[in-house]
Amino acid sequence: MAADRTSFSRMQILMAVLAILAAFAWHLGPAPSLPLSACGSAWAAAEGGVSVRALVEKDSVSVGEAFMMQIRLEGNDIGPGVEQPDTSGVADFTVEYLGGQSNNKSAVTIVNGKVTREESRGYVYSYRLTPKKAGKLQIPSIAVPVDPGKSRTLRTEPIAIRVAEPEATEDFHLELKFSKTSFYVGEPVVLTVTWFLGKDVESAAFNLPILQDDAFAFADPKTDQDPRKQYFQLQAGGANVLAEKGTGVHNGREYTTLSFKKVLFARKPGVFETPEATVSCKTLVGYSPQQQRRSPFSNFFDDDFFNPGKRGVYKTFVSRSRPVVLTALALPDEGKPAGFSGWVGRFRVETSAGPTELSVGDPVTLTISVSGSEYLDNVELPPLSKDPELEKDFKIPEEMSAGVIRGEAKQFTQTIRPRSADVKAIPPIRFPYFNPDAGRYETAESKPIALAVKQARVLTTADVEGKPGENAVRKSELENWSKGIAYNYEGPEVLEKEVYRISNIVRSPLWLAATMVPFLGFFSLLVLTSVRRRRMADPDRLRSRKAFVRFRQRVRAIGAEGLQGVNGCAALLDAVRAYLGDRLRCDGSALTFADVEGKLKERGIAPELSERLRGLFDACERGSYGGMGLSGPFDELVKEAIDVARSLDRQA
Amino acid sequence: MNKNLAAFGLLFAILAIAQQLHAFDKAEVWNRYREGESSFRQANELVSTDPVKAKDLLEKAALSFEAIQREGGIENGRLFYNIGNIYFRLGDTGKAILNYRKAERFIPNDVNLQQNLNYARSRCVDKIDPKPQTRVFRTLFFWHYDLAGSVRAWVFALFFGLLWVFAGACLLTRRPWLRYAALSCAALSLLFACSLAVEAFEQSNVRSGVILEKEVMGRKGDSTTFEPTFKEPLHTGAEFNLVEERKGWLHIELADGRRCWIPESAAGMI
Repeated sequence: MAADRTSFSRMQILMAVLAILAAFAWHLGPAPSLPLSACGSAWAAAEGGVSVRALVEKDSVSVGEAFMMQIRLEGNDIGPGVEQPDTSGVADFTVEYLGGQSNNKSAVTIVNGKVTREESRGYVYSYRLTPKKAGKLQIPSIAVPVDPGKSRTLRTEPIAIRVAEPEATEDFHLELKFSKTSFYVGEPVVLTVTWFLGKDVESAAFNLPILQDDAFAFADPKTDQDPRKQYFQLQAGGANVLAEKGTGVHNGREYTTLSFKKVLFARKPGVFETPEATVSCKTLVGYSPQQQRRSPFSNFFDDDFFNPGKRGVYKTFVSRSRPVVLTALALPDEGKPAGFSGWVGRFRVETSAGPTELSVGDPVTLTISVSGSEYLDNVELPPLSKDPELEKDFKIPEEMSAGVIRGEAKQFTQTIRPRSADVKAIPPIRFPYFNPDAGRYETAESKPIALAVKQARVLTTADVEGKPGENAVRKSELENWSKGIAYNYEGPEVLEKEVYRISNIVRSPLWLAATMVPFLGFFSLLVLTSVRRRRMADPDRLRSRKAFVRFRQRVRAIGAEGLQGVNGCAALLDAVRAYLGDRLRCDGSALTFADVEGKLKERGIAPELSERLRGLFDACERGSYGGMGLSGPFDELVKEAIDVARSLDRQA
Repeated sequence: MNKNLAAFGLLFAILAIAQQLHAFDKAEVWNRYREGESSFRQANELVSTDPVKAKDLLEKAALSFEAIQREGGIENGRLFYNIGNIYFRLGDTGKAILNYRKAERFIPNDVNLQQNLNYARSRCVDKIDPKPQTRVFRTLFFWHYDLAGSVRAWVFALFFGLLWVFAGACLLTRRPWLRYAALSCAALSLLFACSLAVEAFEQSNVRSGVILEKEVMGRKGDSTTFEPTFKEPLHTGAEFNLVEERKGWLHIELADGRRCWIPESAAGMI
C-alpha cells in the first residue's frame, strides 16, 4: 500500500513536470507571441493533426493605426519551407509582411533517469495591418498552404475589427515629397518622408504602402551621418531606415521633424496615385485623476515617478499624408541604340587596365568605373562579350565581378585576354543611356588603353635540342581557370550518415579496439617478460615453491603402486628427502636429518616441528634399512609425513 | 494509478509512432535525393534558356536536399556541399558559404569543396583579413587544419598502436632503432592527441556562423538604439565566431578579431 502511494505521487510529479515544460517550451519558442490577453483570435478546424489560427493584436483601432496580425500553423505534419498565405483578399487593410519563423517546440523530461523528448512543429507568419477606412471591417478568411506543393490548404476564420476615424490634431503631420512627379521609367526620383511632431511620443509605427508597390523599385540613398545630429532607426516598408532628427515649419508652426529618404525607380510606365501613408503614434495626454487599485502583479514602473499613485494616460494619434499623383513616362523607342541596357540618367565611363605589357593569352584586368548619376545601385553592366569591337580582339569570359560602389563611382572588373599579338589597344567601351533632362539617348564612352602584346613563347623539344622547329606545332599554355564552382557529388556516399564530432569518433568500438588492443598486447607482453626474467634470475625459486605439490604427487604414487613395508618406507623416505631438497634448494637424494637440522633452525622452524621431522626420518629409516617393523600402520606414517611437510611449507 | 499508467503508456506510444512517422525511411530519402538531383540537372540545362524556370528548379532541389538532411537526419559533407552549390547557383552567397562551412566539418580536405568555398568567399563584398596569428597557426599546425577530425583520430590510433608495437618489440629485442621508432610514434601520438583535444574543445565551446542578410549593420550593443560599430554594414557571406547570445541578438567576432552585435535573424549558425 505504501509502495502504491509512492508510485502515485511520482506519477503526479511527472505529469506536473511535463505540463510545466510544455508551458515553458510554448513561451520560450523562437516565434514571438502576441499579447494574447489583448487580442482576438480565430481558430480554423484542424485537419490531419495540423491547425491554423489568426491572431490580432487589437480589435479596435483608428484609420491608419497599424497593428500586428499573426497566422500560426501548428502540427507535426507541416512541410518544410511552406509558402506564404494568400492575403490578397484583405482589401480594407494595407498588409505588410514582416516575415515568417519556425515555431518548433521541444521539451525534454528526465524522471528517474528516464529521458522523454516531446517535439512539435509550427510556423508563424507575421503581418502589420493598417486599416484604410473607418467602420466595422473584417479580415476575411485567409488560405494557408500546409505543404510546399499547396496540395493542402487550411483557412483561418474571419476576424472583425472596429475602425474609428482618427482624432483630429495639429500636433502631428506627415508629408511625402518627391523630387519629381513626372519622370521616366528607370529614372531615380528622391522620396523624402518628413514627420512633423508637436509633442513627445512614446512609440510610432510608419505605414508606407508605396514602398511595397511592385510598380517601383527602391534603393537607399547614401547618407553621411553628421555626428552633431541625432539619428533613429525606424521600421518602414518592411526594412529599417535611418531617420534624421531636425526641425521644420508646417503651416506656420515650428515642429520637431523626423525625416528619411528613399530613391525610387519606376518599373513600368503609367500614372500612379500614391496610396495614403500614415504614422500612428502613442503620446501622453495627461494623468488619470483616480488612484488605481494596485494588484499584486501591477508593475511599479507603471506609476509616474513625479506623480506617485497616478497613471499616465496615452492616446493614439494618426498622421496621414496627402496623395500625390506620379507620372512614369515610357522611354522613347525612337533613337534607342543597340546595346541599351536601361541606364537612365547622366553617366560617365572610365576604364583602366593592367598589365599593359603582356603576351598573347595573358589576362588583363579591365576595371570599368561608371559615375555621373548620384544613385548607381541599380546600374548593372551589360556583358562585354556583346561588344563586337572588344570581342574581336579579346577573349571575354561570361562571368564578371559584381559592381562595387567606391566613392562616387560604381566599379566593375572583368578579365580579358588578347587573342593575337596584333592587338595594340583596348578599344573605347561605349554604353548608351537615356538622358531624361535632354529627353534623348546618349552614349558614355571610355578612352582607349594602349597595350603592348607579344607573341607567346613556348619552349618546344626543338628549342631544347637547339634546332629551331619550323614545323613545330604552336602550343598554348594550359592555365587553371579559377572562377566558377565545381560539380555536385552523386551516389550513395552522399546519403551516408557521417560523424564529425571527435567525441563520437573516439567512442566508436572500432576506434577503441584499434587504440586499446596494441596497448593491452604490450601490457600482456610486459607481464610475461617480467615473469620470465624473474625465473631466469632465480631458477630454484620455482622449485622451492612447488616442493610440496611434488611431494604430494610422490606420496600419491606410493599409494597408487600399493607399496607397503620396506619398499613403502624407502619410497616415503626418498619423497621426504626430495621435498627437503626442493624446499631448501639443495640436492635431496642423500639428505639426513642432521643435514637439514641447522638449515631449518636458520629458517625459524619451531623445535617441535623439527622433532616431528626427526621422528619421521627415524621411522622411515628404521622401516627401510633396519628391517624392524613399524610401530604403527604405514598409512599413519604417510599421513604424518604429509602433515609435517605441510607445516614446514607454512613455516619455512 | 492504473489509469495514469495507461495514459502514460498511450502518450509514449503516440510519441514513438509520431517519431516513426515523422522520420524519413530509406526509400523516402532516396526519392528525395533523386528528385533533388533531377531538378538540379534540369536547372543546369535551362539556366541559359529559361532562367526563371531554372531558379524554380534549383529552389526545389535545395528543398529536397535540405529535407534529406533535416527530416532524414542525414549529416553528410557531400550533401552539404551540394546544397551549397545550389545556393551559389541561386545567387545566395551567404547560404552557399554556410553550407560549404557545414560540409567542411566532414570533408575539410576535399579539393572541390575548398575551390568552391574560396570562390564563394571571393564573391563576398566584405574583405576581412584573418588575424596574423591565425595565419601563423594555420601554417605551423597544418595537420590540425588540413585533415578531417576522423582522419586525425585514425592517424592517432595508428601511431598510438605502433608506439605499443615498437615498445613491445623493445621488450623482446634490444635494437636501438626500435626505441627511436617508439619515441617518434609517442611524439606523433601526442601531437594528434592534442589536436583532437583542441578540436573537441572547439566543437563543444566555439560556434561559428555566416551573415545571411544582404546587409546588416553591426552595432555596439544588443539593440538598434546602439551606434553602428562600422561605417559600412556587414554583407551576406561574412563569417564569424559567436561570442555571446542574447535574446534576438548575437555578439560576434569577425576573422580579424573585431566584434559587434547583429540581430539573430540576420545570420545562420554552422
